[in-house]
Amino acid sequence: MQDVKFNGSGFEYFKIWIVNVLLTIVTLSLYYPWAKVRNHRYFYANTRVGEHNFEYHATGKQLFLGYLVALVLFVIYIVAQQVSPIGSIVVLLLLFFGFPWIIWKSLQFNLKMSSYANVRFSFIGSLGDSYFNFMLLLIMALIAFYSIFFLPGIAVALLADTSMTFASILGFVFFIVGCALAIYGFAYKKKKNTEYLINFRKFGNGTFFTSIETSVFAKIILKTFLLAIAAIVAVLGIFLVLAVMFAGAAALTDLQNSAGDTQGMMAALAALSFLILPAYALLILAFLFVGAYAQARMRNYIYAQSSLDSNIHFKSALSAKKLVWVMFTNLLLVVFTLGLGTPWAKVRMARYIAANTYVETEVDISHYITEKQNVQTTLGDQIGDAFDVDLGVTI
Amino acid sequence: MQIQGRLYEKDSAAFSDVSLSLKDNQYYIYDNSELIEFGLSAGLEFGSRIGNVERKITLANGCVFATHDNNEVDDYIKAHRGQKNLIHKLESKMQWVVVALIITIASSFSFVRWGLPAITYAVADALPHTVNEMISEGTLEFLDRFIFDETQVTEQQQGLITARFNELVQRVDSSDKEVNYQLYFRAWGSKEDSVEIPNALALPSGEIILTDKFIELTSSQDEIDSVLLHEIGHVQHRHSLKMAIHGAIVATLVTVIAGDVSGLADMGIGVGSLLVTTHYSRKHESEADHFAFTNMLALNIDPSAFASIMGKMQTYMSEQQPQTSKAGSAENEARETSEGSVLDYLDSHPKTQVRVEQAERFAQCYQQGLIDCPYEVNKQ
Repeated sequence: MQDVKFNGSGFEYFKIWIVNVLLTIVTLSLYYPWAKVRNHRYFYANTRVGEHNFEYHATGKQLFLGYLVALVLFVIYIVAQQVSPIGSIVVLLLLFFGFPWIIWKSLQFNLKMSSYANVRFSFIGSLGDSYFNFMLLLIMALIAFYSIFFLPGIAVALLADTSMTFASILGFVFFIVGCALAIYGFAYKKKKNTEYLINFRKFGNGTFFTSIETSVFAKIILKTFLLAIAAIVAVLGIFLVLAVMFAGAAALTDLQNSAGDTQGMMAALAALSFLILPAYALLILAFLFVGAYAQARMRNYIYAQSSLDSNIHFKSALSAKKLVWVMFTNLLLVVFTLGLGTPWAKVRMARYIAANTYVETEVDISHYITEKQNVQTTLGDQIGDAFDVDLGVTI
Repeated sequence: MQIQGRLYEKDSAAFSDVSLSLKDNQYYIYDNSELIEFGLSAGLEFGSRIGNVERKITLANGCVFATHDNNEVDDYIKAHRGQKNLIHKLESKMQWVVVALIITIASSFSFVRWGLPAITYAVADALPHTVNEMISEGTLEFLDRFIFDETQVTEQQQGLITARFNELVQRVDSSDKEVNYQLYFRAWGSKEDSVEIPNALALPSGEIILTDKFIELTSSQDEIDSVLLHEIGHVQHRHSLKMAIHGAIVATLVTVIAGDVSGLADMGIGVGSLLVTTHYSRKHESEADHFAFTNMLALNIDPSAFASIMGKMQTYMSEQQPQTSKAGSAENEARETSEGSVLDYLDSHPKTQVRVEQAERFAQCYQQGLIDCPYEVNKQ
């Protein structure tokens, strides 16, 4: 078992970060690709497994063109959104059809530009598979999602003439079926996406392998969904209790009585305004927790299922509670330092993630790598400028 | 100069612990005193330094020498290549970090305070008026369908006010001659529940809407004029367009900046941009007030009319509140204090009290027969 360690320090990274921010400002953001390279290099190089570290090899020059294109597209989209609805739909459609290509290009580029122990990663997935994964499956998952609404609708429309009770029972059954379809649809998409991202990833001559059970993802999604509902109910409950404690029950009756009357509603809400900030903070905390739960569970499962050449296995032991603690304290750190605490927040997160990631080998990892990777690879070296998006494709 | 490190074969994890000796023109790599590589120093490619992470030097044959001895490598580069790693110098010297920090904070602040409004104004003024019409298209239909009811104001009164409105439009100091001003009368809120809303709205296209309750509250044509001029001010200053552009720029920046920051910071930035936006909207209200006051002086209308209608609208609204809320007076008081502190930042309009005082200053100028009132409306 090899520990993964993150050796970066908040202050050291702060100095890199503030210079990045400064140069990005004074160049009106044109320095951004170079800043990104320095960020990535710092985080990759400080992540060590055993006696080697990762490395990021891209240059600012390689990223610059892609950045300019992305920036122009983004500005066009924002302007279109404000001025012409049709224009913004056109831009969104272009993005929808271009998205799988962008993902595919970024995967190739980012993995080719990453190495561990002087051995490069690479990605050999096909463009067709990317369209299957990030367009076809997306459409399928969306259809499954909308079935939550139209399935009960069909049931009610068909049977409303005969028996209203029967129609509503069937409508409810169809609603449950719709929910199950939606969860399964998204779980299946996530399974396929994960397999595409990992199974076509290579480390030198070694190949990664993962095999995901759709049902496990479906359970995680279902639990996340239930947790989100529970979180909203809990926040609402706390809000009501606090409202009664501090503003009296009358404030709530006002709110209730004012239903459907905007003016009265505003007045009643204004009376409760001092509770808005605490409620907002609670809601953020609740959603962070739901997000952290999904992220930790998914990652732990994916890592447990993944291997490299069947000799090397991975393990992730994130805990939703600890993760949400890091996230929430990071959020406070960033907000109360007006953003200046960001470097420390990023280092803390990297440290927590690394400390809970393990690489398990039957043989010594360096020995394996040296054995396996002493033959140099010649997988497509000629990758030029990149259209790069951040996907978190690194391990 | 001896540097300890590892020598990796090209694209391979196979390595040996070696020492690199850099001479003026030549380099030599020893594995336990056995010379394994040598060549011209000019053929070496030094990776740039970042923090204290492992430094890579690539040999001409693709082998990679990796070392943690960054300082030795820097010394060599400085002495023999005359190259300076400017970025790392900035990052490693504390005084430069402090300078960077100060410049960053100062420029972020100035950008939000002055840069953003300047860009917004320049873009908004450069766009043709047709953009305003595009933004407004369908808005009145939407409001009619979901918010407004048909007006109860008599056609005779509508005719009088509209005629006066057209006269005002003709006479105000207008820079945007293309605007096609239209006045509409609508009822907002229901009479049965006695929650009618007195208000006046301006769409960027020049469509101005007065609500029935507003007309009911006014007791003189001067009061109506003052509010009409305020709304014309919004249109003239293209405030809606500016809000839209401002929102677009803030959204773009947040995404670009937050793209680099972790997703968590987004929420913090979201709150921040809300504060900036409401501040902006208060500034617009003050500008429209100023437009109304100066034009009233020029048209020989007493600005105190604005103070009186604002006062009446506020009194009406505060009378509405106790009707809907049955809470005791102590609680009401507590609410008002909390409203004052928390909602102050979130308020899109300046305090009525402040606006009334400003109207009265202009009224003093009016009484003295001044057309140019030396008093500037506080644009906070």
